[in-house]
Amino acid sequence: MSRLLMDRWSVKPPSWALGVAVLLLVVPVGWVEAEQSPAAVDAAPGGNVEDGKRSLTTYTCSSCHGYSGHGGVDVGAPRIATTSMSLADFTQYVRQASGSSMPRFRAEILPDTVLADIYAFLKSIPPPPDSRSIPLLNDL
Amino acid sequence: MMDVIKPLGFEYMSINPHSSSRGLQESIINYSGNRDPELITCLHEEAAVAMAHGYFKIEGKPMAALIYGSVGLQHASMAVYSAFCDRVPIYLMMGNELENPNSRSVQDPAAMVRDFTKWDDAPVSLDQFANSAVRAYAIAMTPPTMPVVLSVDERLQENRIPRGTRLRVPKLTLNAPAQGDATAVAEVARLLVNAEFPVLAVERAARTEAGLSYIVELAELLQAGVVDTIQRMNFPSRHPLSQDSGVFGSADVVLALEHPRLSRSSLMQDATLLSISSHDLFTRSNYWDFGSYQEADVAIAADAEATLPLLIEEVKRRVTGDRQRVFEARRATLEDRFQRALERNRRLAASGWNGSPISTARVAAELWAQIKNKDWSLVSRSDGMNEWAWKLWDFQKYHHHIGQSGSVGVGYSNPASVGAALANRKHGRLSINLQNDGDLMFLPGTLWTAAHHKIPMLTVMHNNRAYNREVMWVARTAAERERDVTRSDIGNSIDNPNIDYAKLAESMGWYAEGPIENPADLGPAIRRALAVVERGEPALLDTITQPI
Repeated sequence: MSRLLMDRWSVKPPSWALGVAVLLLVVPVGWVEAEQSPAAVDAAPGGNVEDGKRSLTTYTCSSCHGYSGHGGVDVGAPRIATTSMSLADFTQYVRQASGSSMPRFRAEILPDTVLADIYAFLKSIPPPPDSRSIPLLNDL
Repeated sequence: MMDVIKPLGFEYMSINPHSSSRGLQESIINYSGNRDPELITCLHEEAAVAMAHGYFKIEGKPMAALIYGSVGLQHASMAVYSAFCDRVPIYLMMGNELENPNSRSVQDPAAMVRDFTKWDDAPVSLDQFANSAVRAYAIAMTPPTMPVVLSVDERLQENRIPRGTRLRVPKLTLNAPAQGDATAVAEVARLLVNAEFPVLAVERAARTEAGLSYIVELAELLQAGVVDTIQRMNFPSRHPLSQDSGVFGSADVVLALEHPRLSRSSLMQDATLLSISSHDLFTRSNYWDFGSYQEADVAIAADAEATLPLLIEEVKRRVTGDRQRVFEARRATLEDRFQRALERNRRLAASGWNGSPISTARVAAELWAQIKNKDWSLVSRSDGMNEWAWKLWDFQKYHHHIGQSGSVGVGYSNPASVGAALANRKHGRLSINLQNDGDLMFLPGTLWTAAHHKIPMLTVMHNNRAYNREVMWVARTAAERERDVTRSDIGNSIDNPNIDYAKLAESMGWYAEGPIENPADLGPAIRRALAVVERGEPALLDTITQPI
């Protein structure tokens, strides 16, 4: 988290929040990126897209990264949708988070199978539209 | 009493009615004709004070609030604390009944808020009331501005004035704010002009539109970056010298303006830290709002806005042609940095653009498209909704933004936005409130106040159905302890049932639409709501948003 963001909070913000994965158990599964294709694209071997979509909320990232992994600037959470990381790198990212950015999610609380599902879901999300193609963002 | 209060120039007095102020209330209504001040009916004392907070941040002068001295002040206390932290003057009057042992009166009502107010009194005569009422106003408005409290006993309000009593109303003279010591200001100017990479760090530096202009002038004179915590509308958001805090990493000299919490540890180790702040001129100790001791190399205890004209002149006297060339090169570096940040924000805003729930960037962009050619004013905090409004909108004028809350107490934003919108009304400005769902539910009765008093404003919900920051904290803690993170919503989610904010607002006289989940529906909904607001009524859009 940038110092500026820290300064804007009169109480200490969650400095760990870079990419913290958190859940909202009751979020409807249908809330996803509209661009998403129903068919998994380059999904993780063995990962289940629908389960991953659900687990993103249940286990992991939605509070900081959004329901479709689009990222949260305010808390410094990067976009994780359409990740270019390999499953191994993604797993390492989650398991060995620095602690200053996000807590480590060990296999005991976030099993490998669940992580593979989440990875499959994130891989299935198409890239965001080019900002230059969005009139509202070009006529600010 | 009204002969004393009226010349102080209050436009409005918020009130939650109570028996111990009936004498004063009746005088406002009938003796003063309910004008200057006009009573604004509030359904909770905290709302009455928070409205006055928001009003000041647009109008630059206090709004009075009239509440009951015991239970009323207990309700109002968090809002008083927010105003204290935000250095906002509130003129708080409280009814009390010291001669009635059966009443819920209190011996020293102001004691409860004395840790976060600037001055209080409980006058026992009309003559003392007159002195204290005028003094309270002057003290509240002297930087550092803060809330003041007057306890007004029922006897003073209702007892007949004995025939032949001679009373007079003291003339109000506002204090000129403290200006920095000339020698110290000259030293600050010398250090800034000779710096290789000076940066201005601003927090509550601009009290008025003039303060904003001074900061722009100083920054442009020096071609110095400006890092703004946006507690006030200090600096234009699209000015190329507007920078994020990463610029501190290059700064050899940092001037903190009304920014006493800027820590030396956030700067380069050998950076020179200068400070102009009114903080130490008056503060309290029990409730901490001051952070670590600043360890400035030059510290000037003075009002920054009042000191800036002198500092600007001192800087002008010292700028040479050689330094000017250095300044211009610095400007190019900062402009490039600013443009890259703007482009990065555009790119990030596109992520999740078509998603449902709606991304907070999409909400901000859809709003901006429809308000940017109007005389708009953001009457809520800008640090909600992922700060997208600040990142995407072009904030230039002082009334474009009221800054943040001071205390970060939940429940401030909704009533403060209504108070700010009340101040904007006579100027014909379009008031926009980006409203967190959890905050709205503290004082939902404020919606009725806005409708009843015909205060036009557009409220757009950041409805993520949770206290989302708290979800983050609990999940963080669970992960660190290697426990179940899947239960972190317990105590934090606001669902099951989902709150229907549109129905809530409609029930209190607002135009409302929602829940809106499809981003494609948002633009047309904003258009319809703005048409209502421009007719002079409040409107609310319940947008279901991403968590952050």
